[in-house]
Amino acid sequence: MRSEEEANRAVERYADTVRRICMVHLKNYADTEDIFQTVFLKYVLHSGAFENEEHEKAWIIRVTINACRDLLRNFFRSRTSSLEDWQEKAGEEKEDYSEVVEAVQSLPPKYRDVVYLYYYEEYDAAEIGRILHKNVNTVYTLLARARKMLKTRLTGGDGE
Amino acid sequence: MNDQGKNQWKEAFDRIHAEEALKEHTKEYLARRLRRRAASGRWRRFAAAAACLLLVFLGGGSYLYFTPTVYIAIDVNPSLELGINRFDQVVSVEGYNEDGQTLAASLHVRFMNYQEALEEIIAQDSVEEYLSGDGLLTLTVTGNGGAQNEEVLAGVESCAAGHRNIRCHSGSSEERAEALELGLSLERYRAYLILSEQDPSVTPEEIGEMSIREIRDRIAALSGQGTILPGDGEDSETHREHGEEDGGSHGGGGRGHGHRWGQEGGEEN
Repeated sequence: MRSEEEANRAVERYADTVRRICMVHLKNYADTEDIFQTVFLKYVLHSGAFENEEHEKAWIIRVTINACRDLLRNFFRSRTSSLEDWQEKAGEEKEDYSEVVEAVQSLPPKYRDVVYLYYYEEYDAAEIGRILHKNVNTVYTLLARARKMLKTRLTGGDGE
Repeated sequence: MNDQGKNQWKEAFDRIHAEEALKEHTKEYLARRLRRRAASGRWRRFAAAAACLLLVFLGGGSYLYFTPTVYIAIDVNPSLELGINRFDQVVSVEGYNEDGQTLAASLHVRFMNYQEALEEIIAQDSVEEYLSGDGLLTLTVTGNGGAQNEEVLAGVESCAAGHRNIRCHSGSSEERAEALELGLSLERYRAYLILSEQDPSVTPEEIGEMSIREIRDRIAALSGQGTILPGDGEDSETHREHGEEDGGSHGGGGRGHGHRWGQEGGEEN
């Protein structure tokens, strides 16, 4: 079990990453709070050592994606709210660049992580495969399909 | 993806930051959980230590309570033995012969003070029947020779007081163990040793089924002495080990150690 100082350091270092993944998957601020608590509590309770910061970050990403999936899978989730409500809470003003985020959010869930990890976190297909526990070819396939969908969605296909 | 596209992605997601309130809430939550966990860890360690101590106390207490430290063998014809713990309470009742087993099964003296238990046993119909005639009851206290031995022997003597045909003796644990090997009470074992010297055909089983009066008569007959009857003037006499007398202060009860069968026979006649 990690100390409170280690927990605070991890929150400061990875809060934005967790927040972005939540943004990709969730439309509810309360759920985001739940994910934050789940992910960082798992981090605190995780007894294994990380080889380096990259390894630690990949672990956080993996745990966050899983936590989001688990939450969305929960059929009995009582809290629901609109995207607008979420954006209001997040204090995000709708500007040009939010179009990209919305485009990712509009993708079927299985494509969102691949797109986010590839385009924003700039992992290559092999690294994405390791993080998501998917075959590299599957990652390529998902990326190719996601690109097509994003091209249609984003004006002029600039998103690709 | 061209550079413009890349920048668009970068800038779009770079604008997303975790709110300070969200970070603070998360930190508070983690701090709470860590404190609770530390507290529950301390409590768990305390509870585990307390449980261990309790087990030790319970185990040790049970051992102290349920382990007999002194035995009182009761012989009329029913032959049984009471195990007495260090708190002077009866913790076991065992019959040596058939009558003794029947009597032991009908008794409810476990966890009673040994004096109360003895009084209840003496008051049993089957015992009273023997005592009302010319029967003879012997109470033999065995133990490791500690202070409790003497105290219990004194207690047993006070129970025997008022009964002219009850005799009290004491013996060692070693003697008791030897007697147990033959399935006899210590008193019967001593009689067996004497009888087998005079009549090698005698068996422990035979001795086990005879009444104390019959055994005494047989010893007397084999040694060429007359029948020994309680109350022939010697019953109140108390025989201490090595022939020491204690002044017969125990009323009808007699007391002695060692092979009093032969010794007493001589005195009585």
